[in-house]
Amino acid sequence: MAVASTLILWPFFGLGITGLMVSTFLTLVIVLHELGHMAAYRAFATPRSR
Amino acid sequence: MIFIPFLGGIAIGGRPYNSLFEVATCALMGPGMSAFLVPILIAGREASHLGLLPHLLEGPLLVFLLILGGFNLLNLLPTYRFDGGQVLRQVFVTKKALVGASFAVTSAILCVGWIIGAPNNALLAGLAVFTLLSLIGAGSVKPKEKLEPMGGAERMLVGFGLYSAVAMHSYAIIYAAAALF
Repeated sequence: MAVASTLILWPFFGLGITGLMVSTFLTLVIVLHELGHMAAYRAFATPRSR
Repeated sequence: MIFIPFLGGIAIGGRPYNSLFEVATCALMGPGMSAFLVPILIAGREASHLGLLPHLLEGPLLVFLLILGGFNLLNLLPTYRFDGGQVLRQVFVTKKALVGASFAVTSAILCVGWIIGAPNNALLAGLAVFTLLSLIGAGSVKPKEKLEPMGGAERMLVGFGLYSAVAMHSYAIIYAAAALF
């Protein structure tokens, strides 16, 4: 899924090595951001929830 | 984790919330976790600038820093669905304070755009798009019972967290843009 996202974004930054780098970085940034959310979800894994 | 092309991704927690502190912290930890990387990336760039790391790394490090700061700072905009809006709504309980804080965060982010020399028209157009996005907001899943409210200390803590996240990502963008352009 991450690879697909990178490839979809690639043409928008130019179909060169720089474009691929930028789209890979963008995907990586999204992954880091979502990992942050997931780490917080895990940290709050309390038995009580509403 | 689900990727949505052009909009980013969605983290699936799989567990409902118990308190408003959880809602605010989980929203804040997206940009917060990335903020940990900002000083490390800047140190890496400085090291490659000084020759302690290969010079070739300097460009990619700056580009990564710019994208990291840009994506996270836009996520901190006080828009209903975005992390910034989620956090602000939990921290500021009165309407007046919420409006004031939203304007403060938005102007800080606009200022960053202005400092790095983004064209005024682009900034205004971007702001208009985000305002429209925030209008779609309403309607969300409501918990069965009311979530535990936050105390004053928790609200202050999350508020400072938001402040530092905005400050660090703003600095990341300004630093990277000044070195790149």
